[in-house]
Amino acid sequence: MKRFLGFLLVGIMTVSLFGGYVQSASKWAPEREIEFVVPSSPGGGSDLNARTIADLAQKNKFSPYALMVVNKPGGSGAVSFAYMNTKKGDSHTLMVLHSGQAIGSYVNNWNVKVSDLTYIGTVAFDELTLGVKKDGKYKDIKSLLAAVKRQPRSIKIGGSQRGNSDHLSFELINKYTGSEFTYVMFNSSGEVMSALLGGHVDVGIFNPMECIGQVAAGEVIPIVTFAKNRLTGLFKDAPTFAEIGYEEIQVTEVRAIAGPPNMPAAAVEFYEDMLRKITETDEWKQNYIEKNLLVNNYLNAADTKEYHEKMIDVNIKTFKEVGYLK
Amino acid sequence: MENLQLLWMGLETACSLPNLISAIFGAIIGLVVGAMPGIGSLSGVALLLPLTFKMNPTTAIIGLAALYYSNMYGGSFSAILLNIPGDSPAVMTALDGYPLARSGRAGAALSTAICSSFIGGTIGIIILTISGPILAKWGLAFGPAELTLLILFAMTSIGWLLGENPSAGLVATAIGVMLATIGVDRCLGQERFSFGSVNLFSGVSFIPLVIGMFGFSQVIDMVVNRITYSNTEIQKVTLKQSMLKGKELKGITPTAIRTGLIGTIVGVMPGAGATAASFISYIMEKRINKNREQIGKGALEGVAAAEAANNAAAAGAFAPLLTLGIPGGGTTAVLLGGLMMWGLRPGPLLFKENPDFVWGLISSMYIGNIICLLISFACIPLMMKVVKVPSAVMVPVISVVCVIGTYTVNNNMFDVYLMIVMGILAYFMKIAKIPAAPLLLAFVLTPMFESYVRQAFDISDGSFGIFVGSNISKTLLALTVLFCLAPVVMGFIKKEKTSVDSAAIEN
Repeated sequence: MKRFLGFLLVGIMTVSLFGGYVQSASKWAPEREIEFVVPSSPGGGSDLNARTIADLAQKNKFSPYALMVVNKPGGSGAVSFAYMNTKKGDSHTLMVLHSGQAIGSYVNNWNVKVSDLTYIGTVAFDELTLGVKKDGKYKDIKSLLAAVKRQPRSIKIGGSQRGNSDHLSFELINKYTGSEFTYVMFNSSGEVMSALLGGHVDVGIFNPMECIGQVAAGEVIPIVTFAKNRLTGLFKDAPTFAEIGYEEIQVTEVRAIAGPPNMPAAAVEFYEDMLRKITETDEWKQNYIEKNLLVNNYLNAADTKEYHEKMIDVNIKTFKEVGYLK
Repeated sequence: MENLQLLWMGLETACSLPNLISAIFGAIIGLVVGAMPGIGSLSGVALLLPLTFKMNPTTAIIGLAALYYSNMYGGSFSAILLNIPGDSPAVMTALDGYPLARSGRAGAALSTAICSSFIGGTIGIIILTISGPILAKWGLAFGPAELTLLILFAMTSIGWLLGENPSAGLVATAIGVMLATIGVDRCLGQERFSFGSVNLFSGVSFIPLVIGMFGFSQVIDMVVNRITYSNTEIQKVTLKQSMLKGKELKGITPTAIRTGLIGTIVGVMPGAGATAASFISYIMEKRINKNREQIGKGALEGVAAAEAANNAAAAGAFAPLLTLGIPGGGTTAVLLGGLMMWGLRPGPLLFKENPDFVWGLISSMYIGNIICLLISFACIPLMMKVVKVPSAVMVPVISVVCVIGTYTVNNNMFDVYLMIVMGILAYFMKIAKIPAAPLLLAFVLTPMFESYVRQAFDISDGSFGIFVGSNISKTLLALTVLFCLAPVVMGFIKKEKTSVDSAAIEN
């Protein structure tokens, strides 16, 4: 077994040697493997996002060293934020930043806020939808709203985690439709799907990519989306909230990348560039964006910062209005 | 019948050269990764996943799946030989495996682990082949309330069933529960008992805890009590001697079949996983096995129960993944990510849209299990050398393995200190005759329990009614009450009897 381990090590070293990358003399580039933190369990939207980026960076040699994806779930993302805070000034640690966590760091008052981290870039926008089971009691949004008006707190909506966009979209429904739904928090969208299919909750909040397999099979019906415009493909029959008369209910999630506090500017520049190149590849557009019904929208570090600050303001206001925040 | 035809078709896919190589490669890596403390199937699969992107999806999944289930074989090796369970499903294996190794029967323990892994795994795959989709649908019936009760059932049984003294077991369970509450609360994101330390913010990690409590406390014990392996001089270990005798094989087979069935069922449930499977099976065997008195002190049946169950659970976990596109645990969640990256769409249509892929994988699992069996047996003579190493060498070696195994998880020295502290704690617990296993199991189950309870109350709007809302809940609740009361009643009867006996002796 020892000899085998030896071979394995030599093999790994050889492979990493062949990651031939010509380093230009002036610009900074990573000097070792980059730790790429995912603040949630494997298999979710953030995880897929990170793994796609890591894969494309390696395949296209956009980075001389591999991005090693590490899952650090817990506390709706607070654990990863705290971890990033221990890496102050480090150039070899990145994190997938989902708008849910950016908001959550303020709404749930974590020790480390998103503004402590270094914004690097935005890679995609993601929509949200409500899904019901095909043989469930409710088949469309209107009957769902009517039912909850008749019997408040009788309908359970499952979402993953709290103080994030799943939770926000739930609060927005309650607020603007004047209904009283119940929110059930799960740890991941996979758990929400299990609970929905098992009949333990009535409605699930999903990103399109999190439920597309079930939608394609007809097991889950998307009844409404939180998008600005109607989605296409399998989701084309689901109206937006604006279409049914609730213009205020609109939520879009952002998938961005952040570094630890005080990440050196040269490193930020390198990763900005890497992300831009990745989002321009055909494979990214076809195999990631299109397949998962995302919107391709690259933003650089400065724009990402501005976008997030605006978004956080709006969210804090909403959570305050609904009384979740004091 | 249709399934059999598809299976046959899949067998052709699985037997193609690249797929066979992939399965063998996956099996070997899985064994190594499983045997190394600190790295489990989750990190193994996650590390190898990026290497598979350029492969044909079927070849890739065959290799990764082989890694996953052969990891369950490998996990038993270090548990039996070093008393360090490589991963949480192997905790129960160490309970009987290590005492067996110490009494000079390491070969028999290893053979038992391998044979029952094979039996359990095969049962899991057969069930997956015949009734995967039905089983996965059935697993969905386990909602938060049912899962809460399942975990509660498991937790109430541990204290009473492990160790001779139930109150010592309860103390250990309580310590485990308390350790598990350290860190950010999973429901609201609030900090608990972390005293402002970033290292405690994400809670106590499992690996330092388990390596400390099993491996490092062993080192302390060996040094303090100058334990040397007896009968290692006379013991000449060959593969032939490691083979089980007919009678022993007869003893473990029914155990392996029973726990294989239970393991598969638990593996199918969302989130329960191989740890809960090995654990529930072990407890059941401790109750009903003919040799139950010996289980926990060094019985082949104990090893068989744990190993058959965790392998079966690994196979069962594929049912919801393939038929519904829902991962049951950490490792299958990574595999789900893999499916998406290979360009497949996980979900109910996978069986229809990609029959080659699904049936190729299922067929390969039959072959992979045989490969694991053969490779593991081939490793026995090599591993048996570990038993012959004198304590003077063994102590520093185990210490190094403990430190490195702990450090590699998060590259964090804090974990190493934590491991040492836990080792010292475990050593004193051993002196006080408080068993360590209930502590570890409570530690693993508590976070799950907390999440499920919260979800159940969210669903029921705070009403306890949800816990008697379904037949599954009622059954689990009844079993829990039965398990809680049984030892009390039995103890009462026993007491009566012994007091009569001792009275007789005094006279």
